[in-house]
Amino acid sequence: MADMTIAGEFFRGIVKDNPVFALVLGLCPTLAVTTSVENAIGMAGATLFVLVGSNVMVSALRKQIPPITRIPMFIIIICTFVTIIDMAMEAYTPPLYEALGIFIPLIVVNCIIIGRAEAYANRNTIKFSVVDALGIGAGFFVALVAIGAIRELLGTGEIVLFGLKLISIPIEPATFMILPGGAFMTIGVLMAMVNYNKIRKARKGA
Amino acid sequence: MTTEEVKKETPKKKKESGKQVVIPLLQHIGITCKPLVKVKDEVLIGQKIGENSDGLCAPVHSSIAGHVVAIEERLHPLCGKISSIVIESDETNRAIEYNPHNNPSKEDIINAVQEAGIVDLTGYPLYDMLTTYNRIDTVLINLTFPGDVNSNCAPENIPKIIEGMKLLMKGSGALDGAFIIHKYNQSLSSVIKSKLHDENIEIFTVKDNYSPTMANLLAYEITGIPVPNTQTPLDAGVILSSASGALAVTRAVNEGIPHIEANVTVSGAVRNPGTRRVNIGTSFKEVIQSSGGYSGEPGKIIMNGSLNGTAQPNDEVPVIKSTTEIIVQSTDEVLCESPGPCIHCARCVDVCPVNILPGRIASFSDMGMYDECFKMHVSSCIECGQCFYVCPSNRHLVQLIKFAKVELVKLLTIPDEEATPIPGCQTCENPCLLGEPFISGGIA
Amino acid sequence: MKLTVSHPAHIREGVTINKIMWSKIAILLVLSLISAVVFGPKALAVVLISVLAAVLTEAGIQKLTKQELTIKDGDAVLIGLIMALLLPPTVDLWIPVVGAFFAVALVKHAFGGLGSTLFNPAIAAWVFMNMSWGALTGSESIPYLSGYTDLFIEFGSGRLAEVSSMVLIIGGLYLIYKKYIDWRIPTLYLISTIVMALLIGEELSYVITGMLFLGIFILAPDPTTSPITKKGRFIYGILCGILTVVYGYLTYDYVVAVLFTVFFANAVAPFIEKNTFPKPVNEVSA
Repeated sequence: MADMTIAGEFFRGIVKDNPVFALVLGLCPTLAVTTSVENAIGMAGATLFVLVGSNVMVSALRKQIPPITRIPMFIIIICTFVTIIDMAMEAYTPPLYEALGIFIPLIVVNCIIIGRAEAYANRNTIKFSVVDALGIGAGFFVALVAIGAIRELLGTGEIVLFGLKLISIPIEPATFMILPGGAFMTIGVLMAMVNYNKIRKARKGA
Repeated sequence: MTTEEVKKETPKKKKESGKQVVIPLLQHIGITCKPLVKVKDEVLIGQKIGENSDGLCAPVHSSIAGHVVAIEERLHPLCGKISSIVIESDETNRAIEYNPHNNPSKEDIINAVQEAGIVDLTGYPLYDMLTTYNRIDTVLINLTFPGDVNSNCAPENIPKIIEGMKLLMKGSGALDGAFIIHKYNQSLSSVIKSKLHDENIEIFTVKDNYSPTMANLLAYEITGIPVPNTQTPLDAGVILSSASGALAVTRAVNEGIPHIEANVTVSGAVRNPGTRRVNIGTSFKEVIQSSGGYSGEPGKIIMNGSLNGTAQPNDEVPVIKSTTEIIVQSTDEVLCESPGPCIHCARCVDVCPVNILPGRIASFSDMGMYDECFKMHVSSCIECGQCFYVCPSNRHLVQLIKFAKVELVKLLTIPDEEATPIPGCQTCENPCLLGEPFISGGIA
Repeated sequence: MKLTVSHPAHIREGVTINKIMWSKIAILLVLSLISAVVFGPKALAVVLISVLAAVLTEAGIQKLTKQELTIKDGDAVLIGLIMALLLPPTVDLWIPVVGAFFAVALVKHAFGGLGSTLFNPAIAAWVFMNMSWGALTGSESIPYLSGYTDLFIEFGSGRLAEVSSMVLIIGGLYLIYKKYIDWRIPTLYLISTIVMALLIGEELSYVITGMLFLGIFILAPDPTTSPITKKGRFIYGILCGILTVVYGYLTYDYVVAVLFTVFFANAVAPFIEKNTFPKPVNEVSA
């Protein structure tokens, strides 16, 4: 608590406390929307918006909210921001809105947002809450794009971003990766790779 | 496996005891005897040299004539070092005055058995079985253990075994008796049937071999009453003895000779395997030498069966009352592969006679999860060794199960009067490396 | 004279993991030779590539993680061989390579190696290949038994494993006789398949295919993925039979039914096991 720096908190959200690989929160939208990189970017962006907004609000009101009613209060705040982004996406990006479907309103129950509100924004100043939200949101973005890229590349043979074909590899596309089974497998393998060093250090030390 | 050559016992002929015998003061389950002689005393054959009336104890007798050289701690085949009496032979055959019984009564039989210090193959003093419970309805003699049968069931001994059965029935007050024989051992059952003329004694056939440590299971098989590991077959109303016990009873009652000799079968990597009659206290080295000596470099010497027997640290250990077999393994027969992972093939589950899951329990014990072992009934294991025999991964199942049992005794803190330790090692809390089965809450 | 002092018991029966694996491999090799005769040398190429890929993957992973090489116990060879037999002979040769890598690296070693796999590696790899490249791994013909000679060389077999049921029957009976696999699962699987098929009213000549015998003798009684309790194996065999007929009846494909059945049954094997623990013989009911 004593030596928190802006840069430190930001990068903590990406590497040490990555919401998907380290904190293992918010896996449901991760598994569901990473069928392509475009969807992944869209979901990550929406979550980032809600995260920043709710962190700011919760941190601003943290001294006024009585502890016994804090969870419903947090939910109300989060719902507000989710409704805003939901309506905005319906208006300005209809194809993305169609693709993400039910998972936009489901950002309300995404454990990342309420988890950070409870564990961080409730106890820290607005400045650091914003940095934390940006860091965690960036971590979520990195994770989602990584998973989405792998799934789309192996599952359809190419990555198409906003109409631009970025990469295309000459393999026979493996449909399994687009299906939910491929999602679980990709997350599993990536999590193992990301946590390999941590586990190896713990095993050596223990 | 072997041919049977039981030497005729004539008092004049020199026995194979060699120059020295070492008689341990603890050859039974119970308390150690106190010596009755001192160094340089003269002793005769059959003279009582140790007893202890403070608890469960079977007295020990000298098996040769000579003088006492030392009373000191010597190696014991089952439990480390035990105080023993070392007697040097004077090459004579002077014996004490034996007093045989003619037409003995029940008390005569019990007294004779107690004075003779007869110990059954399980390690219990036989007189204790006759006097503990009032209600015994059957005497069973287990003739399925190959070591016992090969050593003691030569056709000349069968009438004595039948006589021993009748004496045990009279001594315990049982009305019925039965010999238990393996289903495929037709020759033994036909010999017994031909010599048996008593309607109260029958022959039961079973389809497995039961070693002395599986006595509880055999009692359950015959009577149908489950006998858990904290009890003995006496609680099911039967006395379960062996051929060696029956022979010793006959000798003690009809001839007055105490338990000073044993029939030992030597097999494996020796030049002249066979059955020999030896004095108690003879070292294994002399017994093996009288069987022609080692053929090649010995790797392991095992007493009493390859599945349940105890491996010996050297060949200077003495023959004790419950020795029936000495097996010598050459160096390339000794098992030394390292264990692999459990592949859940379930071969151990298929052969376990008690219906537990040995492979799973051993895996839990390996990881230190002893409370899971408890939930899977590890204390029912009778340590017969069948699971180890069939495991294709060379896993040390029996050893891991024993560790689990010992740890559970520590964890569950069974009160002292129920958790009797292994005889001889009064403070030992570790699994006995010499192989005595340790069953928490009781001993086999 | 140095004597070994060790814990009882002092002898073993002599059955090792190597013997179990290599007997199964021998049976399947005979099967693949017959399929090479029926389908041509392409079949042999599929088998060889698959086995080679599996062995190289295992060697690579064990070298990288500094464990000792256990290729000699035949498990990687067995996985590669079974996986090759589940493919049609016209498959592109890179598919068995990917499948073998998936089976050995992800299904076997990521879960803990020999003895810790949750699913049969060959079956899980086949499911992966079927869902990824279904068109390429589908078989071109549907087999059925039109007479007793079909037990020797099957008419209309599409995949490599269906060519000869007789090899599998003889081999399977040998394995049961030697107690390398237990007898409950094959017997009950076959009986419950036949009973279920008769109940539903399906013609037995479609239900009993060469793949069914492979499933009965090699896939379902795989030691690691079947329950270890006796009652559990009973239930597992019956469950496999029911699932095979139900799946085959609803999708008209009895060959693939066997493979998905074993996959589903592997998933519930731990549950069956947990609920069928035996009661020890010498416990007095308190």
